[in-house]
Amino acid sequence: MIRWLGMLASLLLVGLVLWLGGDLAVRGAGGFYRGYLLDAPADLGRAGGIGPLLLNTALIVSLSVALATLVSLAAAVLYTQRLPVQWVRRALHAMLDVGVGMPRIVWGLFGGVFFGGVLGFGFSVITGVLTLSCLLAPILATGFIGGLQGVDPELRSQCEALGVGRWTALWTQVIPAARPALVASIALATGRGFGDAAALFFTAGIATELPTSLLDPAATLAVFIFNLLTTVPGGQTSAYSAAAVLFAISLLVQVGIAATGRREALAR
Amino acid sequence: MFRSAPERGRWWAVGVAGAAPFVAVGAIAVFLLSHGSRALGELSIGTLAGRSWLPLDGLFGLAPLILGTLASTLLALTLAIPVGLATALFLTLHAGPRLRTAVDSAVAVLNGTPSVVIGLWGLTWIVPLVGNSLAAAALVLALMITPTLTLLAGAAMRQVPAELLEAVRALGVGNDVVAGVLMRHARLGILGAVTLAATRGLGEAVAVAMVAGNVGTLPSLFGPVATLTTTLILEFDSAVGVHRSALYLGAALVAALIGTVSVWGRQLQRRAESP
Repeated sequence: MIRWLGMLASLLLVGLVLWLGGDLAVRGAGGFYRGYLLDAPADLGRAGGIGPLLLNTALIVSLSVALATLVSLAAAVLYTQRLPVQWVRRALHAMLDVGVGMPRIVWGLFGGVFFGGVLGFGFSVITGVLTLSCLLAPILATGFIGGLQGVDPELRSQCEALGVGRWTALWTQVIPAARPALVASIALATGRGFGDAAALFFTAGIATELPTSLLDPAATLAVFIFNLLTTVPGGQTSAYSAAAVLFAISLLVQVGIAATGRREALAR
Repeated sequence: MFRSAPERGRWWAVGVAGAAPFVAVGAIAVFLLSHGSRALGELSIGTLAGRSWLPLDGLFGLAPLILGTLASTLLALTLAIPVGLATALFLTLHAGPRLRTAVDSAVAVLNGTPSVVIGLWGLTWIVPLVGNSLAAAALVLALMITPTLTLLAGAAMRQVPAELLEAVRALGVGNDVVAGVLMRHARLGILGAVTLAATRGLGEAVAVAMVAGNVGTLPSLFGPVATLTTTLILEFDSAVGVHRSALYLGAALVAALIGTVSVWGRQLQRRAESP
């Protein structure tokens, strides 16, 4: 009984993915033309291409992932190597859990008010990057902590016995041993960044031009699609083409995660 | 321990950088607490306890938004739990490695699909069927949280020792009994999966805003509904004065709700993992 129900449910999920992908391909194809990936949008996004949005997305996501990776790796190293006190670790992990669960839109409000308003960066690439980094850091730190904890603890004592310093042991032994898990977490965070609209809507803004400096606003592909669907009448057709590209990007990210062979561990 | 001066400097740098994620979470908590408590001073309890959220009429009742958030997520869960658990059970107990990889990949793709894309699909296929409504919001949310639940519940089920299932099978019982034993053993992990899926539903703004209709009256299944997060994304930018204060309070509420549920969910999961 359960077996047949389970097979049905699996079929349903696989069918939904095929439906979603097929629908995007069929409806999105109408807006594609040679140069779609390079041209600027026209008529508020109802026509033209998505060139600047792709570049904006690449810029904002890569800067955010880089910044968040840096601080999160440091946080995970502190947590796993230098914090022996149990209750401090528990409290810090609870903070990360709260950060992971915090809705994107609330990060967006916080970033818009704090980085945009209090620090005066306004709607800009830098506000968006700082906000997205805040959103991604707890996700990355949680993943990195799991990765570093997965390294055999013997490794550290072996290094110590050989007279290798903690710092050297960390960078030459522990982190390389954890690399697949770290890379998988980064891939996951990259996917979240590409898909994010809620945190960037109030921070990086909805401008569809290329920014000339980090203080200019810049919409990512996901924000562009959200804006087309909620504020531009008749934007649904061209939103489909952009959404098909965004879906293709998220597929690529999934392939990358699968290639690390760590998908199972990430499901926690 | 012997440590050189440059090494100490490097550890300090790691300490400063590593504090950043915790500072960010602390800062957002302070931000929500300070703005939320200020809002409580500016708006009377009578206003906040009203039955409607209609900012143009000066009505800032939070009940419709809270109920919209809870109702859409609970309805989504009633769809996601059976489908997600049945899939996870099938993959754990009955699917061969190839089939399992194929279905797992499809579920992971769905899990990684951006909310705007899911929202667009809902706008095209769900809204024409059930209108801009609570039902549409719940269906779109179900599509988003079922893969999360499936992946997490599957991971929990795979932690159950294979020897145990072999022993149960050796008793000659049917598949349903084996499934029951598996579920019982993985129950904490499954509960953790359900709570994490729930937090994803409670916090989703983008996809729901596209299909829910966003009217702040008490929700009904086929009527338009607004949630805490959809109201934030649609109204915050243009809100001023008490409207903005009320929105801050809404943000603090949804964060507190999700924070509670997610810490609880993680704890359940950790308890399930430790022997």
